[in-house]
Amino acid sequence: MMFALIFLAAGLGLLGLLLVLFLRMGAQPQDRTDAAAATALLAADAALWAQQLGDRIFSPADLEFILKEAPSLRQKLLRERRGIALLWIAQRKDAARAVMRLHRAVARANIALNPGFEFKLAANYFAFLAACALAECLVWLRGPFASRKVVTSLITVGKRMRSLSEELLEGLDPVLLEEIRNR
Amino acid sequence: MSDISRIDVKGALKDLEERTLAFIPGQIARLLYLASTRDYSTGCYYHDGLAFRFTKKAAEMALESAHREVFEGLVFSQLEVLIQELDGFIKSTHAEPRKILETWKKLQPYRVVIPQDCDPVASELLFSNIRIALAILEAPQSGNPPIQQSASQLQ
Repeated sequence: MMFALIFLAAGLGLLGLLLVLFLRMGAQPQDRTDAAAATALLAADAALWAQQLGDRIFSPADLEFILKEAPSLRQKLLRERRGIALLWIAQRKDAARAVMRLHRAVARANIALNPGFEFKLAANYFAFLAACALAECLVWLRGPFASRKVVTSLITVGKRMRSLSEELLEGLDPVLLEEIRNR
Repeated sequence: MSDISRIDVKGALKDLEERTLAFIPGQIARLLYLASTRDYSTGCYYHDGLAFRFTKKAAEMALESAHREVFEGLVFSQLEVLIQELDGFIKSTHAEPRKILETWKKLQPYRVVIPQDCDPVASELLFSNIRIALAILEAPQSGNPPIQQSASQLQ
């Protein structure tokens, strides 16, 4: 009797999971937005822009200026810049998620998957998310100006992920890619 | 965009820079001017002189491009430079600096002068830097001296 109940619960759980997956397949507008975001992210100038913006946000030049000219505004600058730094990290995470969603959409329609490549991309994605989490913690604890080194590594992992995604999309038929983006 | 219209936009942009923007002192004044050529409701840019010399579309694209360029220049400016720009702008208005600073703090006009499709993080960075610049410039006006050297002396 006990085993029957366990199997029934497991069966219901699996049915629920299938239902969730089925409903997620119908999320067309979200997918389209993600595809647009991912396309924008993969553009070379978008990556350069993100890097330049990151460099500007975490640059210690403004803090040095404030410490020299208006030390009483130090806390205000740190508070303001912390908010901006966290926004920038969140934006990078959103962009990486969008790339992975596009990748999943591509993988669903692509029979010839390369397991080694898939593993490399997944490993980079999780390394990127871990770097983002670490950067967020450091920004909270030590402030944006002291977290500059982590941001540099975050940009490096992001670049690696971008080049892997580019490699993946380059090998695809443009017609199929367009079809996936419009789904 | 066809080659002809691209040439038109380049020409319109050059014309805008040489005949108009060159006579507007400072990046903040240029940003305000370029934002003022945009319709608040539609987000479209209008400039009769440019549209007359080139085409309406070329004028619109040139204004949009110049607006974006000035905005990006200010976003990537260091705080020190932004304070100089803001100080220069306040002086160029010939109005009472304290009144301008109060108005900018209260109404935050800088929030409506950003390009429409700009990066949200970039715009937040600019707003934040302007808030700090206002706080620095306000100090000598209110008698408190958090800044040891005025922004105009930095130039």
